[in-house]
Amino acid sequence: MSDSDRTVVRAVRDGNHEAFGDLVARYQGRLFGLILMMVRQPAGAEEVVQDAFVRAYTHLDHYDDARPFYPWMATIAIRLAQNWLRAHGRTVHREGDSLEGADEPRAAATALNALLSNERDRALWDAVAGLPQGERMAVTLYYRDEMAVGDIARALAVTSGTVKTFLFRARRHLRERLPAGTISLGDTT
Amino acid sequence: MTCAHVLGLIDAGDFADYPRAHLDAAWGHARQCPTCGPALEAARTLPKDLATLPQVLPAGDLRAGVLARIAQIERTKTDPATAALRLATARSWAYDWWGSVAMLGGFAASLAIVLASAHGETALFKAGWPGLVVTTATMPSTARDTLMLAGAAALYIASMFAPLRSRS
Repeated sequence: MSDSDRTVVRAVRDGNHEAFGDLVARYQGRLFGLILMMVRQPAGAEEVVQDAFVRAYTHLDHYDDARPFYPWMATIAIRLAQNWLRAHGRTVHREGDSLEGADEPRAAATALNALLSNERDRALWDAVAGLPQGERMAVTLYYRDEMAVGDIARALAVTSGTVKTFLFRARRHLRERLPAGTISLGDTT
Repeated sequence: MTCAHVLGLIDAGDFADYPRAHLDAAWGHARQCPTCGPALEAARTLPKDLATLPQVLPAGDLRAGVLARIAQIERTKTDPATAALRLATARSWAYDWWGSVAMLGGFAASLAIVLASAHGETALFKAGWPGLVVTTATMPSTARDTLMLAGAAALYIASMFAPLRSRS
């Protein structure tokens, strides 16, 4: 956990409720993108992320501030997104290969495309959104959110070995879908 | 070193477990291979590409929405009406607990009456548990016993409703 996060959490615990807004501002983009990858509806993702922040606030006493804040927050949001998917009759993926059953992966890309303006970003998001759900979540949490494999495993309720398998498969799928020389991978070195 | 080996190594991502000589051979192959070279380059840039993607922000003001809900939560904590509701809820739990106690008490009383009617109070309490088992096996066979059983059942039912009345 960064000193800044720790300071904010202490302020909130000391009764400065407004300070929690700093954590919302800091992490809303990362969380919203992550949850949008799961629920595939901007309005649904917004609802889930807002609920997740409120849940985090009401359960802040249970948070161990020796650990990073974002993985704890992401775990809450993922659990709520799974509930949201259940409530909306969509597939919830759990342990192991059941996460492989990707449902409507293209719909995620469509939702994101509406929010991304840059062509290059859109192509990369499209490739990631086209991955099966387990791979998509693992690659997003590992590369974009820089979470440790153990934290990802906890958040997705799978084993560390499963996360490593997701990452292996995701890299292969992205390599196949984004050959070098395309707009996504060739122009950033 | 074949393309399958090199591509497998690229997909594994973590090269720390591999011997230096093995990696040198793989990267040597990749430098000359039109398939593996671009794949290796893409794999190297992928983490950076993903990490630097712009954040997708929600359309609404999430911060304001969250803070409004937090303010509402804090208001309900100090609101006298909410405090009264919490007290009432706590009381209802207490009533439930006392209701359970009353129900068990009623059941115990009815059982005692039935057993006492069959063998007499003194015999029952002197006999203890083994006597209780024998007693239940032989009861009740007369009209008097049946009447006592009905009375016990009525007492039991009354004990179930007692806490409900006190709550209303």
